[in-house]
Amino acid sequence: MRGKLILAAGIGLLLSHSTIASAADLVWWTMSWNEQNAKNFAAEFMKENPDVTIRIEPNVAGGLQSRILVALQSGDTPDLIDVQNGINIPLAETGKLTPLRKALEAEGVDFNDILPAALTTATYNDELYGLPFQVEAHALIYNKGAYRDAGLDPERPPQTWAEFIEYSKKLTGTGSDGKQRYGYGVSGGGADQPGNALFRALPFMWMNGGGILGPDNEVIINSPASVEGLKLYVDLFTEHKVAPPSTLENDGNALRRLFTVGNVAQIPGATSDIGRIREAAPDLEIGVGLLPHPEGKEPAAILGGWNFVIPADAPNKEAAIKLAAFMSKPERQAVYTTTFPAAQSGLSMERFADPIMNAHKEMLKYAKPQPTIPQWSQITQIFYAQLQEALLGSASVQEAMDVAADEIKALLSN
Amino acid sequence: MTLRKISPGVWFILPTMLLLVGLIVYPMISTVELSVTDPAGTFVGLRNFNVVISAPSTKLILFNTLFYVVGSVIFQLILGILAGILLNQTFFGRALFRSLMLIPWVIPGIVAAMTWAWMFHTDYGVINFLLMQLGIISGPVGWLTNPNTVMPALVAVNAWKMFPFVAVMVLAGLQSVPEELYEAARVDGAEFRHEIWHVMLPQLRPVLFSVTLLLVIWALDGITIIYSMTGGGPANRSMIFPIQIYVQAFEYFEFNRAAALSVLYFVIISAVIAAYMRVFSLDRRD
Amino acid sequence: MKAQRRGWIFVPLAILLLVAVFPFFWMAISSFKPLGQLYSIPPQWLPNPPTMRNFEEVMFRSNIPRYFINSTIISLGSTLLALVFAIFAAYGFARFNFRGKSAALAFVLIGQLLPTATVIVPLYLVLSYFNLINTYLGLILVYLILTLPLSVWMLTGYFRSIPSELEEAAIIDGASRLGVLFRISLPLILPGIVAVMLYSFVATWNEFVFALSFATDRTMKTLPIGLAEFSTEFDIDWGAVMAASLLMTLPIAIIFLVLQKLFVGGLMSGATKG
Repeated sequence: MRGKLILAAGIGLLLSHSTIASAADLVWWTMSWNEQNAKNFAAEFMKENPDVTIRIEPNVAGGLQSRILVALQSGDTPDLIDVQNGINIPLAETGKLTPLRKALEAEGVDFNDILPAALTTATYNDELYGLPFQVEAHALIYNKGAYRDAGLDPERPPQTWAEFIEYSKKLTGTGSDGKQRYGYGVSGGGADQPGNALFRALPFMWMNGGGILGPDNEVIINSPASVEGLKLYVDLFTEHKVAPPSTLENDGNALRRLFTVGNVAQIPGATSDIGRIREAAPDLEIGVGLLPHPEGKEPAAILGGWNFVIPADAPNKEAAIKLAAFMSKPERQAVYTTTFPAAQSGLSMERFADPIMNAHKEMLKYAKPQPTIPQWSQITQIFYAQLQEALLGSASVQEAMDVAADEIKALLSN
Repeated sequence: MTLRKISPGVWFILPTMLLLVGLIVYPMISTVELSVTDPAGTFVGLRNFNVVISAPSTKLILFNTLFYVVGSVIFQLILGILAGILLNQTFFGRALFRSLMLIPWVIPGIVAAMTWAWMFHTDYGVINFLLMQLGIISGPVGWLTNPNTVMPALVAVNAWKMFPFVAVMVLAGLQSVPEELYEAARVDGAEFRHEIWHVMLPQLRPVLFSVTLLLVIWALDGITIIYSMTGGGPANRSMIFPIQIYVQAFEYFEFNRAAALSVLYFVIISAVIAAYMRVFSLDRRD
Repeated sequence: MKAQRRGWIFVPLAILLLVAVFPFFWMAISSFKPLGQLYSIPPQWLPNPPTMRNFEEVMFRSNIPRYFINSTIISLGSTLLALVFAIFAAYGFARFNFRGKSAALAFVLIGQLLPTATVIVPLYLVLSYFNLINTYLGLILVYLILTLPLSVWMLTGYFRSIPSELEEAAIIDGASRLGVLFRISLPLILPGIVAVMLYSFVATWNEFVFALSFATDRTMKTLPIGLAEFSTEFDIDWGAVMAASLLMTLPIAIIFLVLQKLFVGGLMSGATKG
């Protein structure tokens, strides 16, 4: 008899769930770095809405997409999920997200305050499937000490492409400390791909009037304007040799690390990079400028960021919508975001008052979202593989983009 | 002698078979179903298979997969057998050496991969630094960026990661070699290498048979190392099939094509295994 | 008694050891480095000054301690469960011939062949149906897919290496099959059992994808997820990852150190004499 009791207890232990979840629990999938903030806001929300209990489940960045997909496909979903704006539309395309516009408007969300480009990242088939809360765009981060060392004015970053190439060449060589230095960090490989390379290379094509897909999603990746823009990026490594030899294994993180140890003098980056650089190299003087653009044209950047989404199978939709509206207040986004809030009025808050962020704030104006078709992920992979061919020197940029164009067309016609 | 009653062997294997069937059959059926339907659930026959086979980089990926598997297994075996035999000898500190040798296998895959990527880095990597200090190379080598060195480098990492497993299996297998066989050989004037060739290796045959098969299967499904280090790059020079499958499903959200790839892959591996069993099967020995 | 080898054995051994351990050594010293010294050019050997910040982060400010407990329970459970099933199955495959044996053996291998990506959603549905998501039992069962086929496969090989005359002699003396299994065969393949247990434990200890999908909150998550938690949105806290990896790797190496004595040779010496 005792044996049976022990056995039952053992099985009980094994079957034990962590918390006794009731059906009224609103489940919020946030990211692990936001866990504390989410908990604080959840507590605040629960005070205002005593009939709702919120359970926070923090996600890690690794495997996030697969985790969300598994949940959506299985029908066993949370109520509110933090997703990167780049996958909002592919998720909507699966048909498993809730359209939000009318419900959020009814809750008083001020859509006029939200960065318009951010809303585009959540719009599919004229329906809104997400609520942006975080936005960011790259700016040019440079090493003022290296500028001085190369005889450049540390308060005047390059504006045009011609200046940019000239600056980068001057910065490349042996510094006065005897160490090798490179002018600019080109991203051609590493772990966080193809995203990192896309975010750094595509703006060059956009600024020149080209791109991968045109306004009607036609393939323009090998148009003269696109190739010329991309060629500038590739030439930085292959022709002008202002990018380090490790280019084909460097993602954004690797480039930031090379910047931090003084090996690379200019990198594109977000405000979060500034924080990391300061932590690792407190003595490094950081300067930030707009991304350089062709003469007579404007800068451009890809709009990064995060949105809230609510699955179609969510058990507590009304409460989730209230929570999303609650989080759309600029003062809350100002705390929750790791870069900038999507509600633009939040930019005036103290957290963003450091003048070093000015260039990044201005770049938001020039930030455009990525194209929103479902095959975008595959298209970026094709682009990335051909970009690497060009960087390897095994094909010219035109040839590589021609191959990419053919593959993309074949993909879209399937 | 025909057995009208059920062989006791069946009872021995029954619990395990039931468990495995329970866990595996549903995913298998689900995968096959996915591979012949489209995202809406309609039956589309072999269309998914057509799409994945005619993808442009298939030949390169096939070659890479073959290179990776064959290269990895060969070096895992060589290093593992060598280590197992050496660690079987008696010497001071043997227990410590054995534990240390285990480490590559025990380190979590992602951490090992990222550490190697870090060490192989052209500019801040310690491997280039050491080789240049020792005068073996004159300038930094792009281990993971040069198409000629990337696959060998990845094979080296895979060999490093798994050879301790082989060593442990070999070590365990060597414990059941009767001492008389060694003595008989020595009486015949054998030296150490003769002992290896004529006593140890033959006795290890059943273990090596099983181990090799496992190594092949694992290499064929090994995503972590390559995915974390190069992502299959540069330009697909290190892309292998299992990564394609993962990417199809979870980055492109193309579950049907991923399923088709899985089915194809499964059929090919099964053929390989069947051939392997036929050639090396020990079933006749008992 | 094994002959003592001459000193030359140390040369290839030392090389192998160096190759095996160097990356780990690099990881270990890096876990004591502050952030700025992790990527210096040229690479820096010793931290200057060394810092305990990474270990503090891991032990006191992360979920790693709790995940350590979870991982231990799940890995141990899966290992032992697989062992029990596998011993019987392997003995059946090794010592008996019956119809459908090759097919069954092939099916055992099949479990290893299913790519992870395509297996997750169906498994999730199965576990969800039985309310086993986010439970120890759920993960232990799922991990059987990883541990059982291999355990069966390897133990079959080890059983086969025992000369059948030993067992037949016992049967002639009146022992039952089960008795032979437990009293004669099992003790002889003890090293093999240790090896298989080690494999199962390590495989489940480091497994990420299943754990990520089937363990949904703090009280169930495992160490590999804990490692991933050191990745913030824009970077990885490398120092903490290295420190955590150290804490994940050392216990297993120490366990193996202790289990060394089970790797005993000469178990079958004298078996075939007479």
